[in-house]
Order: sequence, then structure tokens, then C-alpha cells
Amino acid sequence: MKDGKGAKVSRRNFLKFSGVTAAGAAGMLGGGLSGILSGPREVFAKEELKVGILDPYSGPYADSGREQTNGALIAVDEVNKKGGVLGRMVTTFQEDTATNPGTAVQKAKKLVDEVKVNYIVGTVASNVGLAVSALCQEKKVIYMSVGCHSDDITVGGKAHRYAFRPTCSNTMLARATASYIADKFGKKWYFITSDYSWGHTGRDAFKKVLAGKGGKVVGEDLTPLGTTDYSSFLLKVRNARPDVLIVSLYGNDLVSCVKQFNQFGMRREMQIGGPLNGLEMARVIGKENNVGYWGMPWDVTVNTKGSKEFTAKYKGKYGKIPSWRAYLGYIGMAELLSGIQRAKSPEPKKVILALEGHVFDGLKSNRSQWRAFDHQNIQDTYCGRAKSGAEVKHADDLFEIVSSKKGEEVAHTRAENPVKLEAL
Amino acid sequence: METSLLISQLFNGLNLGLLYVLMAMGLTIIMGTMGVVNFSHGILFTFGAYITYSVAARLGYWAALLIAPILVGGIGMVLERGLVQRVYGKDPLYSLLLTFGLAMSLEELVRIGWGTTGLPFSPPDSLNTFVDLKIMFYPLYRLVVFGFILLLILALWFFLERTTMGKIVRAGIQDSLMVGILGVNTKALFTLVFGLGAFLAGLAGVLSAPITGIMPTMGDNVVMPSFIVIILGGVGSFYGSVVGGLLLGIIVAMCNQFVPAVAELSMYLVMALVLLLRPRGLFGEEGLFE
Repeated sequence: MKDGKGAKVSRRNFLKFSGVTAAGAAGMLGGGLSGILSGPREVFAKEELKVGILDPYSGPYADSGREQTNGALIAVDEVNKKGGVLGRMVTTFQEDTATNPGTAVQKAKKLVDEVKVNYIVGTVASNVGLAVSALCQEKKVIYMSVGCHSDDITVGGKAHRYAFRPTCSNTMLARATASYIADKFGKKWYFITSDYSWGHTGRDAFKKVLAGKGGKVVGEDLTPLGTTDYSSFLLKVRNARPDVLIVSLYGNDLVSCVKQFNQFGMRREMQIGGPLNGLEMARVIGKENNVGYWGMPWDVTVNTKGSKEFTAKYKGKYGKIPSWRAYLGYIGMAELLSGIQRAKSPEPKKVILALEGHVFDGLKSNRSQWRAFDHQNIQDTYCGRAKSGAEVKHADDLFEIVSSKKGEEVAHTRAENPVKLEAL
Repeated sequence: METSLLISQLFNGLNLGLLYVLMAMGLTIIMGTMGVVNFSHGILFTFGAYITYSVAARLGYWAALLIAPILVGGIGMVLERGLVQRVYGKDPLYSLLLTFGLAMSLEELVRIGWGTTGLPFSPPDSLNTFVDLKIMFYPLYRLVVFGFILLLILALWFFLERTTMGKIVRAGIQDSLMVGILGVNTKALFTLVFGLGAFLAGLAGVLSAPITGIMPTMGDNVVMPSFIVIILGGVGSFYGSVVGGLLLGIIVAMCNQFVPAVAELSMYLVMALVLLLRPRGLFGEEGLFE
């Protein structure tokens, strides 16, 4: 059936790990010989370049985690096909965070201490990402926080020199989306928010834009991660008669809420929107129920040569259209590997210097950049409209980009983010 | 506060509660009869939803509504015969570990069979609309589920109170050893009871699928409330689980309305309160799990 089954992953990991151990043992034997012949440098060069991939393959964000890993593997394929990085083949080690900060930190420790990786790429939920980020700073390992949108990955005291964020911050998404929604549908908003760091910063970013436009918050509720029935909240929302319902929910939570929003017939009464939505959720929401205006870091309809090539490669390998999670996995891994190549060294400190300030083709209309002072990827940020009913031409034709903002217009300015990353 | 909103929340709470009732009734008869705390109840719920998805794709929703719970009941019986019956009479820890392990392995099986991603599923077209109840618009599907579960509770009541088979089941809950001594084949009785519990869990899964969508972890969210319902109502008490379930639904809905911050906590607070004041639950009988 579909690719990406939890059980297979761990088995594959196991095989890979034992394979690598065997290869390592063989390498040591061979290295002894070649060491006599040509010195130790050769031995080093033949070693594989290990990268840890840490994504949720179980828990409420499992679909997103699988997409991110799939995208990252496309970047690895590309590089290995061209002979690897610094002449070394890239090998990935995948671990499941189970969308749980404790599990994720444990797995990250395993990757760093046992597998000896110098780089970790991945994670979806921001609370998980922040936990992994703190560990990576301590271990001096580069962390590509692929899919965490909570502001504090790159804003404020939790940002650090070893963490980079390939995706947009919540503030970027809100500024690209909230003003569009406010201008078009009205300024009386109700908020349903997932009760953890990402949900909170998403809501706050939307509120800030709303306040700037002189709008009004008519009500708000926090819901625990993993809520499946939103009916009692939706009854409250309807009673408050807002113009727009902003849902800072993600994954299964978002799916359940949007489905029930439709079931209660609220679609004719108000608009719905929020910081994030994407293909892997809209497919489950179903085309009849797909509705609203959402922040999106990328979409398959982004009309650039790079995006089309990436889409073709992804379809070729996995047989389906990539979601923006797959895009982020790809960008995170591709940029890490290109950074290592430019640094001419696998040494994390040198790679960080190669990444900082680097301008690159992020497959979008304008070029993307790793901003040096906070390690945020400054990039085009989109507002997508969910398509439904007859306008959906094929199974994955579920979004249309209605507004695109340049990264500099929506990201925190230097004044708004007075973060000071530590010296290397 | 508008009274119409209050009534809507009350009604919605009852509706939520009925789903807990369905889950808790199965759990409570299994616990009462065999003394097994069945942690695999949630995954049986999930199986109900997934089987519905596969059957509905071929034969339509109504056929699935009939077939899926029966299949899940069958799965339950096979599990009981193959595994669960081996731990009867042993330390409760054995059955706890066994059913917990079962839940985890069966969830992996769901991922292998149907994929890790959730599946789209909506109510049948004829029910995918909403009705004007004057005080509010309410989804027709949820109303139908409401009526359906009420009818089912009546049917179960009839089975337990008015049929010989039902009387044996009730007697088993009271004292299964004595029932055996009186000549009833308790081995078959236990299989039947486990199958009935699984059937009810599967049915709850079938009914929930169109509301929440289908995902491998969907059972996790209903298991905990179901256990709380049993503690509220009293282990082994059919009526206790009905009253406990409805009560819990209303409490959660009211908390969501007035004090959303404690909505999740409220369940556990109520449970703690009942345990303090009346440890055997509202309708619990003396001597059962005490």
C-alpha cells in the first residue's frame, strides 16, 4: 500500500545500522592495509558521512514526519548520485520522535553518542524541536529544525548558533496570511488554539496582526494536543458570531476540527483559517470539507523551474505529489550537505560559518537566505486557499496560492528579534 | 449566558457521553466477568473504524455498520481464545501487560495494513447535512448516532434482563465460579462476553469514524474516558456505565463552555471525588473489585 510504515522503518534502520557496523569493521581492516600504503587521510575519506534524521513516524504528526523524511532522502539521492559530499557517500540514520519531546531527546542522544552523527535534520512539533535544539547546542551538533514553526526556534533566548530553521516562523506565516484574511473577511475573530508552544505563538502572531488592523478577539479556547471532538467548542464559536475562526491546530487535530466545522454547517456562517495547513491534512479532511485560508511555506503550484524539478523527482520516487513538508525536508538536507561541501570540512563549526548569510535557490521566485544573526531562512511565504468540491480537478489539487510575501517583509526585523547567538 | 447555548451544550454533552457509554459497557462486562482490565479495548475501537473504511469502499456505509462490529466481535473472540483466557485467575498484572502489549502490536498492524497516514471518511451522503433544532443547527449524522445508541442500550437491557443468556452473563459478573459449578460452560461464556465487549467497541469505532476521521491512534483518546466512566458507574454495572458515561459527557461539555482550562482535568477530578466518597462507584456492587 502506501510507503512509510512505522514497522518497516525501524527494521530498515536496524539493517542499516548493522550494515554500517559491518562496513566499519571491514573498513578498519582495509584501513590498516591502505594506511600502510598511503597514510591515514585515505581511510578518513572512505568513511561515510553520517546524518541523523529525526522525525515523527508515530503520534498525531506521523504523516508530516514521513513526508519530511521522504523529502530529505531526495536530497541525499541527488548528492550521492554526484559522488557524495567531500568525496564521501551520505548515509542517513532515521529515528522516530513519536511526537514526544522525551523520546526525541533520547533518540537524539542515541544518534549523537552511539551513531556519532554531527548533524540532525528533522522534527515537526515545536515542543519536540525545542527539546532537540537544546540538546544539539550542548552536544555541539548542527540541528536543521526542518518543520518547527514556533517563533522561539530562531527568536529570543532559545535560539543558538547550532540551530537553523529551514521553514518559516509563525510570525512570517501570520503576516503573510492574517492581513489577507482580515482585509477580505472581517476583523471579528475567534481563536481555537492547540495548547503548546507552536499553537500559542501562532495565535499570538495572528492576534498581533489583527490588533494592528484594529480588529477584535471575540473569544478563544485552548485545546489539548490530540483532541478529537471539537463540537462543544464549535457551539461556543457559533454563539460568538465571529467573522473568522482562526485555528492554530495541526495534524489530526486540524483534520477533526475542519471536518466538524463543516458538519455543523458553519461554513456558510463564517470563514476559517490559521497558520498552517497542507496536502497531507487536506487529503484526509476530504475535498468536500476542504475550506479556509492558511499559511503555507511552499506549495506544489509554486511556479519555478526548481520546484517543478523537485516535484518530478519526488513523484518519480514515491508516486505522489510532495506536500510542503517534503519540500522542507528536501531544503533542510540539501542546504546542510551543500554547507558541508562549501566548508570543505565536516567540522560543524566550519559548516555553520559556511551556512551563515548564504544566499541560495530555495526553489521559490525570490532567492532564499540563511540570515546570519538568527539562522532563520528568509524566504517567500504564502497564503493558500483550500479548494473544494467541483474546483478540485484531481486528488491533490487542494490548494491555490492567493498571496505571496517576500521574506524580508514578513520576518522579524533585527529590532524585533534582539537575539545574540553565542560565539563559536 | 444564553439558555439556548446552555441547552445546546447539554445536548451535545449527552451525545458525547453516549459514545463513552458504548465503550464502557464492553469494558465493564469484561472486567466484571473475567476480572480482566482490557487495555486492548481502544485498538478494537480503531479496528472498527478501519474495517468500516474498507467495507464501506466496496459495499457502502450501511453494510459496514452491520459487518464491521461483527468482525471486530469475532477478532475479540479469537484473541480471547488464543491469548486472554490464559491469564484468567492470575495476578491482574498479567492481563494488564498482555492486553497492553496486544494494543501496541495491533496498532502496528493497523499501520502496516492501512498505512500510517489518516484516512478521509465522511458520513453517508444522506446524513451529511444538519438539522435546524430551533435552538441550534446540529449535524444530522450525530442525531442519528444519538438515536441509534439509545436503541442499542435498550436492546442490551432487554438481552441482559429478559433472556436466559443475558441472565447467565449477569450471573457471571456476580460470581463466575458459582455459575460454573451450576453447570454453565464458563469457557464459552467468557468467550461470548469478550466478543460482546469487542463488538461494542467496534461499533463505537464505526460510529465515530465519520465524525473524527480515521487514524491509527484514534483509540487512545477514548480508552481513558471509558475507564473513568467505569470507575464512576461501578465495575460490572451495566446501568452504572450508562449513567457514568452520560455524566462524564455533560461534565466535559460544561467545562469546555465555562472553565475550558480544567476541561481535561475535570474527568480526573470527578474520578478522584468518586473514589474518595464512594470507592465502588455510583452503582457498584459490594465485593466486586474492592
